[in-house]
Amino acid sequence: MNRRSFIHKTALATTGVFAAPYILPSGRLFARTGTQIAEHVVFCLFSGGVRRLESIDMEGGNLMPNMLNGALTTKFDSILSKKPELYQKQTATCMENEGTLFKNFKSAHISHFNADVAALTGVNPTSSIDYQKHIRYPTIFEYFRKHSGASADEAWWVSTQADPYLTLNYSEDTNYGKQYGANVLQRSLFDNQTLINPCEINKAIYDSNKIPKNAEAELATFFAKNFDKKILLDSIENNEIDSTKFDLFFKSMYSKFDAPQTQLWGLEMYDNASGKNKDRRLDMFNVALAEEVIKTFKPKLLVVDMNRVDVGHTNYTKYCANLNYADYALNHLWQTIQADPTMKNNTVLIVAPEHGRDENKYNDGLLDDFGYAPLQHEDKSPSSMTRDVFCMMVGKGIKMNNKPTAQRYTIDIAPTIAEILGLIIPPEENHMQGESLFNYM
Amino acid sequence: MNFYLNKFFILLLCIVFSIGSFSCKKNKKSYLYEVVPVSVKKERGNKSVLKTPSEFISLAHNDIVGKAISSTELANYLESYNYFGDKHYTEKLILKKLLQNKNIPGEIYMRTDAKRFIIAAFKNFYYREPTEYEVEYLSGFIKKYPSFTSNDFYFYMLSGAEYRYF
Repeated sequence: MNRRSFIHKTALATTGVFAAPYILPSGRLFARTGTQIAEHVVFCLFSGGVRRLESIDMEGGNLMPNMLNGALTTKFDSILSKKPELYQKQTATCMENEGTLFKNFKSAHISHFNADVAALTGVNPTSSIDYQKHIRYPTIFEYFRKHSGASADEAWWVSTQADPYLTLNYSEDTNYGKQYGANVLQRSLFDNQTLINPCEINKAIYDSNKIPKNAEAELATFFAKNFDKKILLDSIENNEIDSTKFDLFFKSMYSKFDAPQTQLWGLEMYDNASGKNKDRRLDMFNVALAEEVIKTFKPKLLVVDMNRVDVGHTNYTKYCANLNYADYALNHLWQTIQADPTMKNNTVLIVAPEHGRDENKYNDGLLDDFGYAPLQHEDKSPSSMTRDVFCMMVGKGIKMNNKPTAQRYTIDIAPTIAEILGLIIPPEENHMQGESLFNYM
Repeated sequence: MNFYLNKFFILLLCIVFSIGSFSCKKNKKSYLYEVVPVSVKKERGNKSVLKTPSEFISLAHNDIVGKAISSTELANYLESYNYFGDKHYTEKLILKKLLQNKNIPGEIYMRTDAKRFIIAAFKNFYYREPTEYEVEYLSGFIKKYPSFTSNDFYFYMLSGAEYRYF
């Protein structure tokens, strides 16, 4: 080997050594420099199954006028007395024009939980649900917290659903786990029947005489140090400063979310106002909770669960109405972000369903008022519409009016969030199978 | 002759048994001498088993409200327990909720006889007597902060790690 050849090969090898840590298992690059695109990511995950026909294909008219171009549907005008209350477009433009829409987007799963896992971990799970355990691979919350040094109150999972979905805030991975998990807020905490409704407790306890904060801390430390063991719970833990914030957070929620209240955002929050907690527009309610999290904590990573479209199993018209309410809520959320001085112009909003619904309607005689049959998500065939979804992104660093044609997948969402937040994840700790969507914009 | 021989054997057996039983007694005494002075209730270190959420809520209800929790109420608490991700914070919410219905000595008692109040609280919640240091520190704390309530006292005591263990 001559000298020139030796130097050339040495240089290549050195370059390879430096570049290797940033190459994903899939072979694609992301976050090579750790440069942040935006400081905040809000991911709205439709975890109830949205069919492309009622969303991006707009069959029978547009149900999502704030997200997609097109006039509001008239498909329910045939029986005016039973027509669901649908909301028109709220702003001059729509998200489709302001951002990037992946229409050729696929989910590998047709069940809610595994599809949610794929979106939050970047890994297609192969195992069935174990209700007693957290999931196997790290969530994007854990990647974010570990590799950015963020505190627990900077990562949030706001869910409409109960277990096992509430366990999606962290995994069992030994490199990550609960010390890097996200805060979870489930809307039922604010329901009338909840025994530990913090609002109710706030009224009686937090408003009483208090000793100085430093004295409280001193006393808490006394009782903590007086015993040689720690309270080891299967839980994330906010530090003392965060806990003070939580007291104020819950206290402020009282006037907004006290159970008897039926109005939110100046709207009726129930389909049936006389029946409290009955047919509550839960996606709107959940987004309203997420907005309070935004106002109080300015989260760097917030994932909001919107699952009420899953009523499609039994009632097609309600499914369509809930899609419209979710669209209204998404616009409201985006306006709230734009009104926040910290998050305005520094946030990326991602919207995607976890999976679709079957192309064929379920004709077992359960027709709704408009004669529509319900929709399931059971078609396992590789090309089924149940695997067709979409992904919309708006905000800082996102191309406007962009519609990539590349076929991409829900497992790409977690690596995309990692790239937006500028995370550098060592290859040996990175399990994500997807690629950043920025490679395809 | 046989009669005398039998009598001799019986006497010998009696001596052997009496020596045996004497020596056994001696050993037992020695063993008891080591064990008897130990009082489980005074040892914090003996608490080593973390209560499950269900045990924590049931026992807290029993200790604070003064009666066993109903199965429905427990189920509701456990359901609510999952609604917020930070269980450390959630447990504090549960304690605050339960303290709204407390059935244990309150404010006047704490202000008129702090030492007795502290001892009673420790026996009630920690199942042990407080150390002199604990009584002294907590009495001083109560005296120092006139706005500090018995509810606050119970809350911080029950939030401590010791209450979370058996």
